[in-house]
This record gives sequence, structure tokens and C-alpha cells, in this order.
Amino acid sequence: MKHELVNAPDGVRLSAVVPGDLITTTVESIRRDLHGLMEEPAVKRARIQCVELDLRQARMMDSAGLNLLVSLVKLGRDLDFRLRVVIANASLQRVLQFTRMDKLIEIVPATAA
Amino acid sequence: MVAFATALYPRCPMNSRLPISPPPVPETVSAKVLVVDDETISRRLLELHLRRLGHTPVLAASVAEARQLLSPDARPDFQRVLTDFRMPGENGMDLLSLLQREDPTLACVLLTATTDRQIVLDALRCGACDFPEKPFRQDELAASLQKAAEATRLRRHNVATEADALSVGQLQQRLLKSGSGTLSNGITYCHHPRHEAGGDFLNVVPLDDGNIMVLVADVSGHDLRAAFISTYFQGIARRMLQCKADVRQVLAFFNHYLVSEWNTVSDTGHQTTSIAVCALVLDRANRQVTVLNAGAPPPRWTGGRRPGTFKVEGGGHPLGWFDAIELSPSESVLEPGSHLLLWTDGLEDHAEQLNVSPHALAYRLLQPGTSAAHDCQIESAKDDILALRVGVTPRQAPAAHTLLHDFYRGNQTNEIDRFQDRWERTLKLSVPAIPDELMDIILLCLREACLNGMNHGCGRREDLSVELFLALEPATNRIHAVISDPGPGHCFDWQRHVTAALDSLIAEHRGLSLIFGLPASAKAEANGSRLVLAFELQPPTTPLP
Repeated sequence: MKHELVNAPDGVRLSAVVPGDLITTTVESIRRDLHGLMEEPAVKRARIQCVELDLRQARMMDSAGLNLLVSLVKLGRDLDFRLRVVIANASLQRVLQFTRMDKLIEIVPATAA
Repeated sequence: MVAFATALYPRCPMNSRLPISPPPVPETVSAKVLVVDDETISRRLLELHLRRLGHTPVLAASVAEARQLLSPDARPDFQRVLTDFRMPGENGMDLLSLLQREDPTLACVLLTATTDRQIVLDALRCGACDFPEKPFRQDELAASLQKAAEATRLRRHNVATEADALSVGQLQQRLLKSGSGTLSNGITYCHHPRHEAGGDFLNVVPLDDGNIMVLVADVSGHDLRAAFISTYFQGIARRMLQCKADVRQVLAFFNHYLVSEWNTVSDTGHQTTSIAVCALVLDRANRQVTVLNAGAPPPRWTGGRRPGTFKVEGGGHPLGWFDAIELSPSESVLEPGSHLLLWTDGLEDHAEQLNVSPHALAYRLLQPGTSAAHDCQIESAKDDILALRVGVTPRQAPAAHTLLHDFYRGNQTNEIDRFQDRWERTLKLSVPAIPDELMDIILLCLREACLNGMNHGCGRREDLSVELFLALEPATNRIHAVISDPGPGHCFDWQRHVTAALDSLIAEHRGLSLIFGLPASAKAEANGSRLVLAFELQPPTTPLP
């Protein structure tokens, strides 16, 4: 999974690029990759304040994908980081709004990212 | 009740030889014979003889009287004519000339008291079929009349066959052109032949009771042998049906012919010829459909609340494979507005190649316009494609078009991406103008609903399946989806669960929340084991046909 650590004005951000849809058949490997990233010494040392998932390549997010976001929100509450996603797809935005995930995470349109 | 009987057609004995000519019309006791004789005593004597032989004589004292009885207005329905040669004024030869003009199929027996060779030659030239000499014996008269009856039957058969051949030829000519169209009886068809000979054919036979029979068939091979068998089968089928044969008799006869005669010529190196046939009898008055299927894709119905398929009972293999065939009719009474869909295996093969549902491919190909063939990539099809839609009620547009009707086993959850790809291609082919966002929402809901059914309704078991069908409803411009599973279901208040899932960050119920919240309408039936979803094709979209 492509990723980078960004020194933003509001703190260090771990930005990871999700290479496609966030759905039942991909979500477990993405979860493993993300957890692997979190365990990397450089990430641990950076004391990240934000985890950003770049979902610009994603067209679909199903309930398994939503549950991954929920688990990251919970993890963020434990480890004191916030979650934000970058999206380029209108239906993804609709799903996140409908499930009220937009109240829990920051949603950034691709054009503003 | 339509033309099929319910019992199985008996097995054809291996050594039996069914007649190639059509079955003889049984001699009925009321067979009408026109008797023309100027002498009253002779007329009465002939009448007596004929009644003893079981015929129904109609008497005329002159050719002029006979002319009136033979006029089309009299609707005579004679099977033969028995006439004296010598009569005052117009004689027997004049009557023969009259018959040549008015009804050349009606055979005539000429009674003569002379052996004049010239008279016999003239009579032969004018179509007389026998010349018993006066005085005659009763058995001689019986033999002459039998000969005349057979001659009439054969002549009429030949005329009808010629008309049939012309009719079949005209239909084939239309079908040989690639494209779609509508026949006079409201049948919409499309045909995309890949070869100039053999292949698929469609035949519509009006039956005496007002019903219609639709024959859709596919002859194996594309050579001249296949073309011959195709034409021969169509002619035989049409003629036998008009002679009141049961369609199973037609199929059994042709199966026997293929197995016992055509396919036994093995030293020519040709492959076995077979015909996959689906025969469908539609009783439009009662919306009743009866199907016999010998190896063809089973017909479907569409347009009602739920689509369906006529299951193949018994052997279901094509004609020409085995010496015995078992054909069980499948019957259904369809809802008003229903339509029947029939297609040949070329359509199924091409649908598989495109990874779309055959329903959607048929729907698209049956649409008017020139872009359908291009959109369906017909040029890459490997076999002939023939599809047709038959309205249960003539000239009534389908209330809904089935686009997809699939079953997914409970243990196929890891194949969901493949299924989703098929849904997307199917929808894109059916409704090219569908907006991307709507497409994504539909796919998401179908994915969630099918996974839910496989996981919970089927318990991931291989022997249980989720059923999905998609339909397009032109009147409301909506796409409907029905997802059913065999599980007991459970009551679900999705709005309460959406709130609960959000507030407590639990992992459950998000899928069901999507299913119930994203479509234009969603309802659960059968305690939630059947989900009925509707998606609105947002304007601006091209008006649907």
C-alpha cells in the first residue's frame, strides 16, 4: 500500500492510498496493510494526529468497507488520531452521508485534497 | 385446453417405419360424392350403391346442375365425382373440363359404355382417374371410388404443401435478413444469422381452434444437409399440424426419421444431424401456454409480478440423438400483460461471451432501432442468434422487461465481484443511459442483499440459493430488483438500526441499512426473506421503449 507521512499544520498525517474499492473481497487485505503501517517504527515515532485514506480510486464501499472505517474511528479514539477520507465518487459520498459516517470522519472531495 | 395431450408419446419401435408422406385422411362415412347422370334410374342405382358403400351421394341430372353444386358459393366439399360420359348437351368430358377449371384437385370417375380409345385418352388428358365400364360390379365401383379419393387427397396435399413451402420460404427470407421486426400476429423477433444455410428458424402455425403454435428450432450444422433438414422439418411440421397431428407426433416422427434414416448414412463421414426444438402453443383467450421442449433453451415468461421458466421435463434432448423421445408438456396460465421469451442457444452463448444476462441481451436485441446489434457486439457472435417475444395479449407492450434472473449458491460469497460485474454489464447493455451514480447505488444494494441472503438466508450452504431478478418497468421508468432466499428471514427496523449502528459504532446492520435506505423504495416480504427494491432512473434519460 502506497503511503506517506505528511507534516501538516495540524499535526502529522499518515496518508495511505487504497488501490480500489473498499468492499468485502478487498477489505481484509487493506485492514492488514493498514495495521502493518501503524506498526512501522517510523509511524509509531511520528505520533500521528490524522490517518487519511485516499479513496480516489474507489468507486464502491460496501458494509464491510464501512465497518473498516468504524474500526479505524474506534482505534483513533484509543490512539488519539482522527480519520479522514479523500473521495472522488458521488455514490461514495452518498453512502457516507446516508450512514452518517460524515459525522464521525472528515470527508474531503478529491478536488480539495 | 391447447393441442397437447397429457400422456407421454409412446416409444417408437426401432423397426417401425413411419410414413414420410403425411398421415392419410381417414375415410369418413359422410364422404361426399357428386353423382352426375341424366338417367333417373341410373342415378338412383348409383345412389343406392354409394350409400351401401358408406358414402354420401349428392345427385345432379346434368352438367349444368353439377356446375351449380360445384360453385364456391355452394361450399361443396366433395371428395370425388362420379359421372356418366354420355349425356345430352354437355357430356362427361365437359364436366371434366369444368373440374379442371374450378377445382383441379377433385378426382373424377368417368362411367362409360364404350371402350373407345380416343374417349379414354381425352378423359385422361382432362384428369379423369378411372373409367369403369357399364354395367359395373359393386366391387369395381368401390375400387374406383377409393382410387379417386386417394387421388383427391394427394392432389390437395400437394397444393397445400406448395402453399406451405411458399409460406415457410417467405418467412425464412425475412429471417435470413439480419435484424428485428414484428410479425402480423404480434410476435417480435430478431435474427442474426452467421451462416447462409441451416441454423435457427422460426415458424408460426395458426391452429384451427384460434391458438397459435410457435416453433423455434436450431439445426446442428450449417451446410446443405442442415439446410435441407431445416426446410424439410418445417414443411413436414406445418403439414402434419394442419392434418390435426399432435405436435408430439410431429417431433416423434421427425426424431424417428433422423435416427432411422438420415443419421444412419454414416459412411459419408457427416456428423449426426440433430434439431433442438421448442414448440409452444399459445391459447390467447385463456392466457394458457403449453410448451414441449426437445433440447432447446427453455422459454421464459416476463412482465408479470415474477418471471419464470418452463422447466424441461423428461429427456429434453434434441431430435436425432436417440431412437426414443420422452416429451412432457409444461403448462402455465400467465398473468395479463405477460410476454414469452424464446431464444436459441446462440443467444445464450453470446450472452456468456459478453458476461451479461441472456434476458438483457434478448431485451436489447428486440428493441427497435439500428444500434442494438452494434451495442450487443453481434459481429463477434459465433453462432446464429434468434430471439422472440410473444405477447400473451396481442399488441400489448410488456408491463416489465426481465433483465436478469439468476441464482447464486450460498457458498459463492467469494464470487460476489464476478456477479457484480455481470449485473453492471447487464444493466449497461439494457439501459445505456443509466447514470453512473445510480449504477453504483444499484450495484451496492444488490451486492449487500445477495451477500446477506447467502450468509444468513442460505447459511453459506452449497445446496441453498439466493434468487435475484431485475426488471425494467417502462411506465414508471424504474428498475426493480427482487432478492429472495430460502431462510426464515427476520423482522428488521432499519431506521432504528441505522441510528444504533451510528451511535454505538457497532459493526452490525450497516448492510441492511444500505439496502433499505438507498433505493427509491424498499420493502421486505416473507418476513424479510424477500426484498423488493426499486430504483428510479433519474431524468434526464432517454425515454424507454
